[in-house]
Amino acid sequence: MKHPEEAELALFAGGDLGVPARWRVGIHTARCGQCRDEVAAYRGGTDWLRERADEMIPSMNWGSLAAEMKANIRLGFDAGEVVSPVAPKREPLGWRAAAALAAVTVVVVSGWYMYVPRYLARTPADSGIVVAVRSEGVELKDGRSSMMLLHPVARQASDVAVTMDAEGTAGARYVDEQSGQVTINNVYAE
Amino acid sequence: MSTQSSRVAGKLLVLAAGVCAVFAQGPLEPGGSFHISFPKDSPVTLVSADMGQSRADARGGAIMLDLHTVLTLRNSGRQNIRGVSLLVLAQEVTPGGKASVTVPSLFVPAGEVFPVRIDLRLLRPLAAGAGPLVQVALDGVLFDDLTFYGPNKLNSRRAMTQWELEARRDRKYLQAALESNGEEGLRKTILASLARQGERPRVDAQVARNGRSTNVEPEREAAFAFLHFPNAPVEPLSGVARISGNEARYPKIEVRNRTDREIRYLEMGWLVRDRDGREFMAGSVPAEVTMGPGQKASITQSTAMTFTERQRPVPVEGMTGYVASVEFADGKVWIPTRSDLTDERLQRTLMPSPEEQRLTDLYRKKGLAAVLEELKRR
Repeated sequence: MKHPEEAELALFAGGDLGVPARWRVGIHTARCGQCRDEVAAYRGGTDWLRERADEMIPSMNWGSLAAEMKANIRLGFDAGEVVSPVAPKREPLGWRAAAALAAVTVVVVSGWYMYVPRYLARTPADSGIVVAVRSEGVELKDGRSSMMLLHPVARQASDVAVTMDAEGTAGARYVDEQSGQVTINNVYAE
Repeated sequence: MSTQSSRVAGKLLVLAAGVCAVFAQGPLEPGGSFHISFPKDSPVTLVSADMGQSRADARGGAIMLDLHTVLTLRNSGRQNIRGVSLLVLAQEVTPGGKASVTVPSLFVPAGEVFPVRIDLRLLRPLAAGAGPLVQVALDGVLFDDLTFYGPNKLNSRRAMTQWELEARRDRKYLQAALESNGEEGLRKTILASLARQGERPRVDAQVARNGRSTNVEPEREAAFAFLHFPNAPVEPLSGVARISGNEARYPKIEVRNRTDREIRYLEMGWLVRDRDGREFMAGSVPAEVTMGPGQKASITQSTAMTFTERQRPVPVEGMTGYVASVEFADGKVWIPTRSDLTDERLQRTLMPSPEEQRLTDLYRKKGLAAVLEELKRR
């Protein structure tokens, strides 16, 4: 026969078990003398404690203590009325979830920092169309969007001749390695 | 799993997807991103388009497209082609923005094929719409008699005519060096050009259309000095620009037509001197004008140019202007002569013409014999 656990017997003795467990433990103790004795012992202990608790400490002014407690409770209610309502407190995230979130954030931020194109990061505050000559090519930029005509990575800076005009045209001129032809790339701001 | 845990797991999945997008990359589908169209009666036809190593990368909330294309074109007309200009539109990426790829100094007889390389990088937010990102169309073809075919939306007729005139001028200059001093004279002339190209000071420049000043330094108005060419059809009279730190903006130049012909376009070259006294080519101030014989005109641009060198500001101290090219109402173009360009300041700062750049590059790679062959061939 499988006996209920000690905790179940103690709770059963105090009448604190749920309905199904109380029914199950009740059937068991009706058949099992050993467990019935255990339950009786728990109940005896409870009765002893109740009897002792009924004996008031003679020096304690219980009336004064009760009045003070009521005053404190009233003070708490009054204080609560003068502050704004407090949002219900959310359950805190488990530390494992928080750690995982932090790790993923680190990966995303690191990836962005390492791979984001430099000129995207340097987008000026003003979002007007800008044309620029850069080491890789001539660029037309509008906010976060850009179009760049690339020129080959030159062996010398003199291999690429760049032009710029005040109307908003940027150009780069180079000799194509394979065809030997001059190629002129221009971007136009309008 | 509790509701709270489900929410956390959902957030983690979204972030993981973001991480994957950051590192995602792959080859580009050319059909969906690149559209090429030539007019039916075009003297240049498309033979093939090789997309090569074109690819798309998603990085940091943006998509980057690297388009590396070699178009093989055929001269389907009857005349020799001296230059071709292609219009490159990426309206979805930069609204209103356009680009061009031009190949001047060509010599393509009828029926022959020639390549045009387009290397383009596009960057746009991931959230932008789909559809063909790049459209390539013909803007113009220049023939050896200086006639032109094409829609000319980017004024490529004027630009290619100017480059062709510069090519003829510089070939004559090299041929004159050959005739007067032999092969050694030609070699010395080419080596001097290569030395100038190598020593030419370079700065990075940027133009903002709105002309907004980004400097904290006080702004002042500075006057242009001018180089005067004796045979130039236009005489510069006066000019100013607002200078603030490494930024020059709102150039305004007064000019006068010295000829008896109407002028419709003018381009002023623009040299800038920094606080150390170094001069460099800042760019040019182009302007569409209507200037009758003897008339004056004022050309101005509401843009701001900023100058940097190795990512450090280059403070502007002074400016010099000169007439770089003029287009008359009949379409004829004037350019400075070689003797005009012998000015010491221009020698130090001016970039070579496309043809001079091509021939000197040919000398560097293949030697004098290849240059001699080229000078004889055309």
